[in-house]
Amino acid sequence: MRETQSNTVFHNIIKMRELGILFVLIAMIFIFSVTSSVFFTVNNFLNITRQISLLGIMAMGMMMVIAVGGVDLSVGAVYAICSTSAAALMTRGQIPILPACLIALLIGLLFGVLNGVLIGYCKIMPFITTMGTMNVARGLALIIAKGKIISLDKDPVPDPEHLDAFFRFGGGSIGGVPTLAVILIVIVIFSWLFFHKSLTGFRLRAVGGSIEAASASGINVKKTILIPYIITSGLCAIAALANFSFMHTVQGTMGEGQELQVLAAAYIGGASPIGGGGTILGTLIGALIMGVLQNGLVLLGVNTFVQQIVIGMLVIVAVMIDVYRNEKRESR
Amino acid sequence: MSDVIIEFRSIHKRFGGIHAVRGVSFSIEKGEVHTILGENGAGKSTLMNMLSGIYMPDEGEIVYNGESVQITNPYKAKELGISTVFQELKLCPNLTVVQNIFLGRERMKGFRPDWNGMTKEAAEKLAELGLNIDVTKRVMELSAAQRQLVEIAKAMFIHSQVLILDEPTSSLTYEEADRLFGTVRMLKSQGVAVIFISHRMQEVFEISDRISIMRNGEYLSTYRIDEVSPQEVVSLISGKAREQIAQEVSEKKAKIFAEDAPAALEVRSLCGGPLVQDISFRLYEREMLGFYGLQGAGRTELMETIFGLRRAESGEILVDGEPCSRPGVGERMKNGIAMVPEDRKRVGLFMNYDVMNNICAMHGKDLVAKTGMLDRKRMNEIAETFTEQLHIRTDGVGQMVKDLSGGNQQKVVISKCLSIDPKILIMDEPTRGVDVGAKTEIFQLLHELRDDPDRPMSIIVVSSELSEVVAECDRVLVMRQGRIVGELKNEEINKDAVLQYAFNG
Repeated sequence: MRETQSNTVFHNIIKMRELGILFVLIAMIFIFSVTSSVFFTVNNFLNITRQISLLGIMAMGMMMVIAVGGVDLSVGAVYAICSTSAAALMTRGQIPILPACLIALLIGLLFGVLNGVLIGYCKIMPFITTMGTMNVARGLALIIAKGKIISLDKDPVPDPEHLDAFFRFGGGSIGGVPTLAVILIVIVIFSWLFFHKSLTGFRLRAVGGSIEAASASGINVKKTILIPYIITSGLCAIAALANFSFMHTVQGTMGEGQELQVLAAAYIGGASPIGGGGTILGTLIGALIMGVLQNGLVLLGVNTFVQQIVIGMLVIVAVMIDVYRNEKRESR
Repeated sequence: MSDVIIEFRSIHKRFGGIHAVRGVSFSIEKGEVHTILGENGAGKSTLMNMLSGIYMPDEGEIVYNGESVQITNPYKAKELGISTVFQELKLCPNLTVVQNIFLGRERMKGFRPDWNGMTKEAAEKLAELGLNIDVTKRVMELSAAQRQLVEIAKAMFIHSQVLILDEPTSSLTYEEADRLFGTVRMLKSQGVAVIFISHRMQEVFEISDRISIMRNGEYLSTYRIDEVSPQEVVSLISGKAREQIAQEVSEKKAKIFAEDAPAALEVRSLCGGPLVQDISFRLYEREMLGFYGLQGAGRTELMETIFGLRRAESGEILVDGEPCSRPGVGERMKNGIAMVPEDRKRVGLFMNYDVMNNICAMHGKDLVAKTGMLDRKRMNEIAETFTEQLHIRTDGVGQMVKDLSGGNQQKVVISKCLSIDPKILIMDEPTRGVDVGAKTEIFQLLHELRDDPDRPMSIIVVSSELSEVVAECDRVLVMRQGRIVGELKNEEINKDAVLQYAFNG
C-alpha cells in the first residue's frame, strides 16, 4: 500500500516536470539558507539573478533549438565574436558605440542564419554544423582580439560622451534591480509569449515532434528549423553586449565552455533530447538551479569543482526522467 | 461534363532504372469509393504519392476537375482538396489530438492560435464522426488504433474533395473498421471521392463501388464491384489463371493432426500483463499450429513472452519437456526457439545491412575465426546456402536488404532464424506486406520445413488473415482478450468456427 502511494507521488513529480525541478531549486535554497547566513538576503538574490542572466538569456534560445530537434554548440563562440567585434569596432575601428553594437548584433544573427541554413536547408546534422561554426567563430574572435584584452577604460572610443549610457545598459540598475536581471526577465517574458503562445512557437514544437507529420501538414519545415537558431545567436549577441557593458572589457577566449553550461541549464530545465519538449519556465528554473548552486557553494567555501560534479549528475538525472517518461507513454 | 473528378492520362514514373508506373490512364468519379488493387510493387503507392504531391510524374498529366494540374508538393495537394491518410502514420506524438488535427491550418485569435475554439470544434466533429477520443490527450498516450482514427479525422477536417485511404484498417479492430466505413459512406454521400487501398478482399468488397487493378506498374482494368468475384480479382492481381488458383486452393496442405506426437513446446499457465492471461497449450512435434485472434487479442504479446522479449509474471515454458527457467531472448535461442517478428522493417532486419550480414545476425562466437576476426568466408557460405534454399531473389548476398521486395525481405528474416537451426519456429504475421506470389512461396516453405525428415521442426503461425490460418495450419488456437478461447483441429477448422470463437469465445 505504501509502495503504491509513493509510486503515485513519484509519477506526479514526473508528470509535472517543472514542479519537480522547482522542488530541487527550493530544496537547494533551503539548504544554503540554513548553512549560510548571507545566502537568504535580497542582495544575494539580486546577485544570483545577475550572475545567471547571461546563462539564462542564451538558454532560452537553446531550449527552442532543442525543442525543434537540434542542438547549438556555437553559443559560447558566437558570444565571443559578438563581444570582440563590438569592442574592436569601437576602439580600433573608431566607429561610434551604437552602430558598433548594431553591427555586432548583425554578426551574431548572421551566424544564426548560417547554422539554420546548414541544418534546415542543407540537412547537415546540428551537432556537426554548430561544432563547425563554433570553431569558425572562436577562431575569428581570437583573431579580432589579437590575443589582447580590449578595455573601454583604457582604449579610446570616438564618442566618449555615450560611454556612460553604454555602461548603464548592462551595469546600471532600475529601482535597485540590476539591468542585467531586467534584461533577462524581459527576454524570458518574450520567449514565453513566442514559444508557448504564438503560432510559430507551436509549429516549432510540431516540427520537433515529427518532421514528417509537420511537412505532411503543409508546414515549411526548413524555415521553422531556421528560426530558433537565429533567435539563439541573436540572444548570444544581446548577452555579449550586456556583458561587455557590465565588464567594460572583452577578450577572445571569453565564453569558452559556455555552450555546455547553457545546454546543462536547458536539459535540467526539462528540454527533451528527442525534440518537441521543453518549457520556458523550466529552462529559467534550470538556469536558477545552476546559479544558486554556484553561489551557495562559494558562500559555504566549498571547492567550486564540486559544482561541476553536481551539475553533471543533475543533467543525467533530468534526461533520465525524460527518457523514462517517454518509455512509459510509448508502452501504452 | 460527367462527374469525373480525377483523370490520370498516361502517367509514367521512373526511379533510376525502375519503371514504377507505366502509362497509367483511368479516372475517378465524385461520390464513389474507388479501390486500387495490386501486389506490392504494382505501383499503387507511387501513383497515390503523385496525387498527394510527394512525387511528380515524369510523363503524362493529372486532370483535376477538368483542368490539368501540377501537384508539386503536399501543400498544393491540400489546397486542391486532396488529402491522404498514410499507411505510416504522420502525427506529432508530443502534441495533443486537437493540435495535430489543426496543425498547419490553425485558427488564429490575434497573434496566438485559438486553442479553446479549436478544441471545441474538434470535439464536436469527432463526436459527429462517432469517434470517442479525448481531444486534449497527447498522441503519445493513445493506442495505435486511436492514432489511426485521429489521422483519418484530421484528413476529414479539411473539406476534401478527394480522400486517399492507404490501408487504413491495418491497425483497427473490427468495430473500429466498421465505424470507419460508416464515416466513409457518409463522406461518399456528400460527394467526396474516396480512393481506397487495401489488401483485405472482404473489406474491398464491402465498401467499394469500383475497383481498378494494377500489375507491374501498368493499369489493367476497372470493374464495377458487382461485375467481378473476389476469386477473379485475385487472379487478375497475381496474373495467374483462375484454374491454377482453384487447383492450389483445392490441394489440402494441412496434414492430419496426430494426438500421440511428443510436445516440442509446452506452455503452462503463462501470465504477463493484461494480454497474456493464464495461457496453456502444447505445440506438438512436426506440427504447424495457427494462432488467430482479432487485433489486440494478445497473440503478439504471447509470442513475445514465450520468446523472452517480455517478462512472464508466472507460468512455465517447457521445450522438449525441459523447463526454460532463465529469462531472455538469448536463453530461448539456446533452448531452440527462433521468432520471425511482426514488424519486419524495424525488428526483423537491419535495413542498413546487406543480405549476408542480416542472415548471420543471430550467430555469435561461432562466426569468429581463429584470427579473432569475423569469418567472412563462413558468413558468405551460410548466406549463399539460404538464399539458394529459400530462392531469395537478390543480386548476390552483398545486396542491401532495403532494396529487396517485401517477400524477399521476409525470406531473409526466415533465413536468419533457420540459420541457428531452431527446433521451434514462431512466425508472427509471416505474410504481412508481401505480395500474393511470395505468400504462397512462404507457406510452401513452411510446409517443407515441417515435413523435413532430417530435422524435427515445429511451427507456430500467428496471422490476422483468416483464410491463411484455415487453409494452411494443422490445428488452430483462437485468442480473445489475452486468453485462449478455442481449439480447432482437422475437419473442425473452418472460417465460421474460428470467427465464432474470435468474436464470442
